[in-house]
Amino acid sequence: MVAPPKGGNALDAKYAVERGKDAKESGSRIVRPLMPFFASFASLCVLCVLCVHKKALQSEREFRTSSWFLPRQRWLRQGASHGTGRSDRLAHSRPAHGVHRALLILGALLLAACAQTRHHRADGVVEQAALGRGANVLLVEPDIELTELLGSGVQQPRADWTQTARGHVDDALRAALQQRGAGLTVYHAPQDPELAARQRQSILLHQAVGTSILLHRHLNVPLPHKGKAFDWGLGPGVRSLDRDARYALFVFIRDSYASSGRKAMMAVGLLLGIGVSLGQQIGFASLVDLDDGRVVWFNLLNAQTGDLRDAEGATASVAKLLDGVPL
Amino acid sequence: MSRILALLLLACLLGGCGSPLIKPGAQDVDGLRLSTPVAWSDLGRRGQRVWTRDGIALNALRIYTGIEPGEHVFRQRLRGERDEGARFRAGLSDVEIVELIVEGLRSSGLQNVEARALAPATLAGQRGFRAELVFDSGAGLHYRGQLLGEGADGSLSFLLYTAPAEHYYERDREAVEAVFASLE
Repeated sequence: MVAPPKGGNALDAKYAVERGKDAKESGSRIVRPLMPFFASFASLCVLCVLCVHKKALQSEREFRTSSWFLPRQRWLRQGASHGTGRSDRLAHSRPAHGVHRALLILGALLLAACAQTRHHRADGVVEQAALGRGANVLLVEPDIELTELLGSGVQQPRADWTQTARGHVDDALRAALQQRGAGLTVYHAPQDPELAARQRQSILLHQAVGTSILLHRHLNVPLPHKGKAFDWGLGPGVRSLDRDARYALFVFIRDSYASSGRKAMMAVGLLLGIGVSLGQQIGFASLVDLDDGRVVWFNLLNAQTGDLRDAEGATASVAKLLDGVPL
Repeated sequence: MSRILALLLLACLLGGCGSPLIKPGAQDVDGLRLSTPVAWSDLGRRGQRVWTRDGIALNALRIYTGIEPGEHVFRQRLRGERDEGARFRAGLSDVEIVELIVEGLRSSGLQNVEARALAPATLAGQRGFRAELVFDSGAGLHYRGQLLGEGADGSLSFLLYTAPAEHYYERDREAVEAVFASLE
């Protein structure tokens, strides 16, 4: 057991659970705001496919291999070899097989348009625990860049979009934290150049730590000596960011949007059967304990749609980015 | 986004490496006998090991062995004879070898790379050198490093430890010093 960190609130008692347990890790699929209809339809499709498939299996129990993996020719050949009655049943189920395959593909395509988040909590931080409720949280200026995805595939930074997105994300983060009852302090670079330089190093170190977590926990580059432990940190020097706040929230987002030329390319690509990306929203957020520098929560956002250039889209993205935050 | 794509590519490349676990204790690393007090994960391959505890950006102990004359000091690909690169040559002095390593780091995109406190040392019984390194990442994060190497036997072998000056360098320095000491 570890002692609750100093300066915490009553809920910090939840912080003091045994260390050494596997890191808490969870993932969730969250429907993007523009896609509720498609997602519902996709879920329905998958449900229909499963029902149809189950029915087909019930009628053909003697098939040892699931019909999902049987080529059509084999299906017909096996059906014909088992007598007329069964052949009739197969004749009845063949169209369903084709339909449910099509539905499955459609469902998979639609579900692919959803946003995906996956968060980790540090060892000893219980899932569902609200460590920071009532605690003061330092909001470090979000690192955001928006780009335009040109027809050639080149990403051209757009300062105007980035500026707009920063404002929207900042507002959405403030609202989300206030809704959680967290006291909010916004980071401002100090006048003292020496302190400003030290704080900048802490912010840059967070980028390096975030990149490492991304690489080793989300992109699965293994670190076998760590096992499942989630024990990244920024060290006690991170306290220099703020004397009073208990936690610091860092946010990093990169988002791209297709130009009209790119969209035209996608339309042509559809006809030719070539997939063309229309942009991607990727980002991460982390909550750092300023008492010891530990990253207590980290979340990755990866989405194919969404728009940070309007307030509604930014609010939705921030909601996903804060998925599982222990505040 | 290009950084993310580069990460994905790196992940694919590193994912195939298997990342063997380096347990504490005596190790034979491509002919070098050393001892480590802490566990590491190896993201490199034979002749160019990259041991790390939290990720290469946070702590990396690179162990390069048997670099032959004409090879790049970091075994990077050289484009033909005309590519000067940072090629190792037999007969170089310790100062010149350290300068080559500094040049190799500079050419990889690091900034303000400097070597300090060059001193004689021993590596696996061979006369060699030690030096401290400082540099900044492309984004401006300050790094510090320790270098132990030797090129006296006609081929170059060296260990290079690098970590952000903030927190990580000091945290793992003792363990790295123990590794260096085990090679004397």
